[in-house]
Amino acid sequence: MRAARPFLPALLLLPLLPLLAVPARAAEDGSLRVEPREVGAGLFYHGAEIRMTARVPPGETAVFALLGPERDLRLKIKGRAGGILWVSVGEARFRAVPSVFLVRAWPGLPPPEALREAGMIPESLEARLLPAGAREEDRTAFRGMLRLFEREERYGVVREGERRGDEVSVRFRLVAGAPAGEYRARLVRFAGSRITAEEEATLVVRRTGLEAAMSNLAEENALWYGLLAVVVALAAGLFTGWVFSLGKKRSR
Amino acid sequence: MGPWIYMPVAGMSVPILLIAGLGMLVGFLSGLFGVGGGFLLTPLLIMIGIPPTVAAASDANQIVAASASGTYAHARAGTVDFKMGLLLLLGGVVGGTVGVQVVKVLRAAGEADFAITIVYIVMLGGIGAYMFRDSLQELRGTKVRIRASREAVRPRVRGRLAEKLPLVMDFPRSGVRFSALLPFSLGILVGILSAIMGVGGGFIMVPVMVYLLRMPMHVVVGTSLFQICFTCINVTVQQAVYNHTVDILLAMTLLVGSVVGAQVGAKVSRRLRGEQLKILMALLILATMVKMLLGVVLPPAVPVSLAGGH
Repeated sequence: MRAARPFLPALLLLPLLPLLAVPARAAEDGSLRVEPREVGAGLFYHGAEIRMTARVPPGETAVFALLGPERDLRLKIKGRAGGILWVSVGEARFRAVPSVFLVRAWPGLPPPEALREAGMIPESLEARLLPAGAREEDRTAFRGMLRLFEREERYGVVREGERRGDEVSVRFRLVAGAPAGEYRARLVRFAGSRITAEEEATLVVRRTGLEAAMSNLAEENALWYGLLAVVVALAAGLFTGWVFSLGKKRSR
Repeated sequence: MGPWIYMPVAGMSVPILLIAGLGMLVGFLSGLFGVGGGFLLTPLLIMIGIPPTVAAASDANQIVAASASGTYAHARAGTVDFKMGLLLLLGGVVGGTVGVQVVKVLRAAGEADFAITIVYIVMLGGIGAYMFRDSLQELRGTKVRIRASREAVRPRVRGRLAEKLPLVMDFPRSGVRFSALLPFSLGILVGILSAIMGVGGGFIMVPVMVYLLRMPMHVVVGTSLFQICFTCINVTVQQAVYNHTVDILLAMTLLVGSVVGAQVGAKVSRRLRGEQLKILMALLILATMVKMLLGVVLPPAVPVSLAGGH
């Protein structure tokens, strides 16, 4: 009986063990749904609509984010040369930049500082990409990068969504130029500035069919791709020439 | 805008009808004026957002298709000077290879798009201004006199060149004799232009063959097409291997439009007055040049660009 005594407090703590296994602010219900979970980008692909839905208690703000595969970027900074032409006057390199960073918030936007701290706005990348003592050139490039991606509709923060019952849905428009790969879907719920829950899911954008075959060939077997381009062009050229020569013969 | 098509190498989706329509417009103008049209097609593609390096390389691929049937027809008709064509082609392969490597270096430096744009501004400005002046002279009836005075000068220039250069040889099919270095150098120039700008180079080669090399017109067209076709084959393969910028889908969509447009243009050209249309073509070229010029002179909407694209 005496030997069992030290285990008694441990037994009392047993029900709390699952809480140690998940992040402190993880959602209690795992309600985040992403539709579709897989996007096939084929020959006639013109972007896709992604829908995220999650349970959001009344009084809380839901912020959803769609984050694309990360890439290293080399940016050219433009400036005037000789007072006439806009040319590259500098360069900046950033590592592991999300190719897509789209945010939807409902019913409104939490304070910017709270969003930044939660990593739920593109500006929050600054902390990682621009370390203390970063060059002014890098800061200019970072601001320019955000504007560039906003214009390309890869980055953006929009107050949008609809509530149905206890669920909130938001829609994202994924542009056709967004790269293939694994995308992260994130949900952060706020009560004022305080984070009450976080959830994450993934979706995959995959090149398919002829489009995928040609992309792969162009990248992995460039010589064969080049020869194929020539053969297709020669065949197309000779074929159209033959078709039009038939038309001329008939008109005679 | 109709159905969209995803261009795997350009990395963007575009309306099929827009691309085919651009091909048709340029094909129509080609048929109307008897020019290749590559020098207009690439800048128009750049203007709708196709990366300049992809536009130039895919245009070269499209030119292979556009020139293939013409080359075949001329070869069968015996109007290709193969000896001359092979020298031009040799130069074209050297020039094309150099051009592709220049594009590769510029891409690595992140400056290829800017360089292609600048080269186009200079070339479109030159061609547009020349065409505009030429057609104005035709309308005023002063062109014949000016041409006659130039004709008197050219043989002397060509004669001096032919005398000084080594490797003089006969070209029986064309009935001319001069140094092999002349067509070889011309081929190099056209090859470089083909790689950097995605043009066939007929707009340079034909006048040089007629006025400088004194080749008969019926051989000029066939030989020029022969050289253009094979130079663009070389450029297409090299661009695909070294720069990964050839988009087959883009090239073929353009081709569909351009072959139809060229046939219509050729028919229309028989019914219309050439000088006035030529002025319109000159104005279109100059307008394209001005649009591109504004792109590098006006402050950009975004102060950065991605080196090497997405």
